[in-house]
Amino acid sequence: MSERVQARQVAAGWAPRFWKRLDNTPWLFILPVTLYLLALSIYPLISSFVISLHEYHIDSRTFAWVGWGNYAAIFHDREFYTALRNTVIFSIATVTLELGLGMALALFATRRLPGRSLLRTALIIPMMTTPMVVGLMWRFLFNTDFGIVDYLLRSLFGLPPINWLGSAPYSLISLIIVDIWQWTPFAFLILYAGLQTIPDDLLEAARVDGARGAQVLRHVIVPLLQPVFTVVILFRGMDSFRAFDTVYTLTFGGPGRESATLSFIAYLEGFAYSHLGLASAMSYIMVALIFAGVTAYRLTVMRWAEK
Amino acid sequence: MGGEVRLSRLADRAVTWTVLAVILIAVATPFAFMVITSLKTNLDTLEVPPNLRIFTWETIRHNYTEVLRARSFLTYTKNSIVIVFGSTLIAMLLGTPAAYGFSRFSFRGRHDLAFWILSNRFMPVIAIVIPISRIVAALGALDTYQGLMIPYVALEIPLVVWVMRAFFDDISPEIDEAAMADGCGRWAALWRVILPLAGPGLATTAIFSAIFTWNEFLMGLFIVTTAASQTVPVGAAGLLTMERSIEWNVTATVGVVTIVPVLAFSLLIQRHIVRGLTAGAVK
Repeated sequence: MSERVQARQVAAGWAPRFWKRLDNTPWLFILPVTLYLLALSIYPLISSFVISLHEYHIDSRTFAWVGWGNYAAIFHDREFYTALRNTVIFSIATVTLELGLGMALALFATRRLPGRSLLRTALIIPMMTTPMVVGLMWRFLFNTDFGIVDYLLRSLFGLPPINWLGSAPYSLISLIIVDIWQWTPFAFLILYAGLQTIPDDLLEAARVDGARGAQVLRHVIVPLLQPVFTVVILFRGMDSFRAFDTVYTLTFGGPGRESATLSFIAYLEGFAYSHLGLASAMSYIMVALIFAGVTAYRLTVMRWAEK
Repeated sequence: MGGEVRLSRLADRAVTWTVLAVILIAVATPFAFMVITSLKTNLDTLEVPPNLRIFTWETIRHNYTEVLRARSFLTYTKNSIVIVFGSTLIAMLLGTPAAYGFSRFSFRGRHDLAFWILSNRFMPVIAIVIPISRIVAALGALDTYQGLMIPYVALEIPLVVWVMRAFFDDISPEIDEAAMADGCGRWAALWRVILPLAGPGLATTAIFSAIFTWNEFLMGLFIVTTAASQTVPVGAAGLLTMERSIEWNVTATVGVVTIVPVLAFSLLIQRHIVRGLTAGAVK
C-alpha cells in the first residue's frame, strides 16, 4: 500500500468508523417505513380529527369551526345508533360463528382425511376473492325472484318467499352469512395450524388418564389454543368492525339504513352528501373504539406472548 | 363384533365424505353460478331453477367483449395492474429492510414500534381517506397512477413488514454473522446473502400484498374521480348504479374478470398462506 493512500486513510479515520457504525444500526433500516407511515397514516389521522371539529363541505367550500358540534349531532342521530347496533351485532355474530365453525372444521381435519390438500385449496379461495365481488355473487344468489337460495328454501322446505336483501332483519343476516362464507376459512386455517403444534403425547396422556373426547377438548386443547383464539378474534373482529365492501355491493345498507355499518354511514356522509366534517367525526368514533380494542389486546396477549 | 367395527368405520367414512362434500359445494356454488351467469344472455339469467341450456359461443363472446371493451374493463385492468405493481414494488423496497431490522436488531422500543406498524393494519380506511385525498390533490396526483400508489404503499407496509419479518426470523442470524465476519457490512449481508435465501418469502409477501391491493375498494372509490382512471373494483361498483336495473350477465362477467388473477396467484402461494395471514401474531 502506498504511503499516500495510508495517509489519506489516517486523515479520514473517523469516516470509515462512522459509516461502519451507521451501517450497523437498526435505524437506517426502519426509518423509511416509519416516516412513510407518519406522513400517510398518523398525519391523516390527526388531520381527520381537526376536520371532525369543522363544518366542511367540498361543494360550497365551507370550512367553519364547530367544536364538538359534529359529535353532538351524531349522538342525536338515530341512524348512527342503528349503524352502531348493526356493527356490533355483525362483529359479534361473525366472530363467534367463524370461530366455532372454524374450530369444528379444524378438529374434523385432524382426522385422516382423503382429500386434505383439496380441502385447504378450496378454503383458501373465498378468503382471497375480491370482497366486493363476493357481495355481487351473493346478491344474485339471494335474489328473491331468481336466486337459488330462496328457490331451494321454498322447494325443499316449503318456506314462504323471503326478501333476503330488502327486508330487516334478513339483510343484516345475509351480510353475516356472506362474511361467514368468506372468512370461516381464515379461522379454520389458523386453528388447524395451532392444533398441529399440540404434541401428540399430551393428548395421549390425557386419554390414558381417562379423559374422553369432550373433556380433552375442554381441558387440554382449548387452554393450549388460547393465544390462537385471540389472534382469530383480533383479526376477524377488527375487519368485521370496519366492514364496508360487501355492505356496499350486497345490500347498500338497505332497506333504508337497516343493514348499514359505521364505515358505511361515514362513507355516505362523506361521499354521497359531502359532509366531510360529519364523516370524519363518525370515523373518529370508530378509531376510538378500535384503539380501545387494540390497546386491550396489547396489554394482555402481546405482553404475555413476548415473555 | 368384527362386523360392528367394520360398520362403525363405514359410518365414520360416510360422515367424513359428507362433510367434505358439503364444504366443497358451499365454496364452489357461488363461483359456479357466477361463471355460468357470465355465459348467458341477460334474459336467461332470470330463470329459476337455472336452466343449463347449451351456451352459445355468440353470447359468451358478446358478454366478454361488452365488459372488456364497451365497459372499458381492459382499461381498468391496465390501471389496476400498474397501480398494484408499482405500490407493491415500493412497499417491498421500503418494508423489507425494516422487517430485517426488526428481526435482527434488539433495541429499546422495538416491540412498541413493531406493534405500532402492525396496528396500522387495523386502521379503518374511512378514517384516513379524506385527508389522504387532500394530500394526493395537493401533490397534483389526483387521477394519476401515483395518486393511488401513494396511499396503497401505506396500506401495504404493515403487511410487508410483518410477513417478511416472520420469514427473516426463520433464517439463522449466524448466517449474517458469518457474512459479516467475511467482511460484508450489514446492508451487504442483507443484499447478497440473506435476500437470496429469503426468495420464497419475498415472492409470498409480494403476491400477498399485491392481492390485497388488487382487492382494495374504499380508498379507490374516494381518490378516483374520472372514469378513465378507475381500478377494477371501482369500475365494477359502477355497475350498481341505481338508475338502471342490474344486468346480471354483465355483472357476473365483470366478477369473473376481477377474480381470475387473484385466484391464480393465491394458488401459487397456498403453502404459505397461513404464514402470511397471521405473521407476527402466531410464532
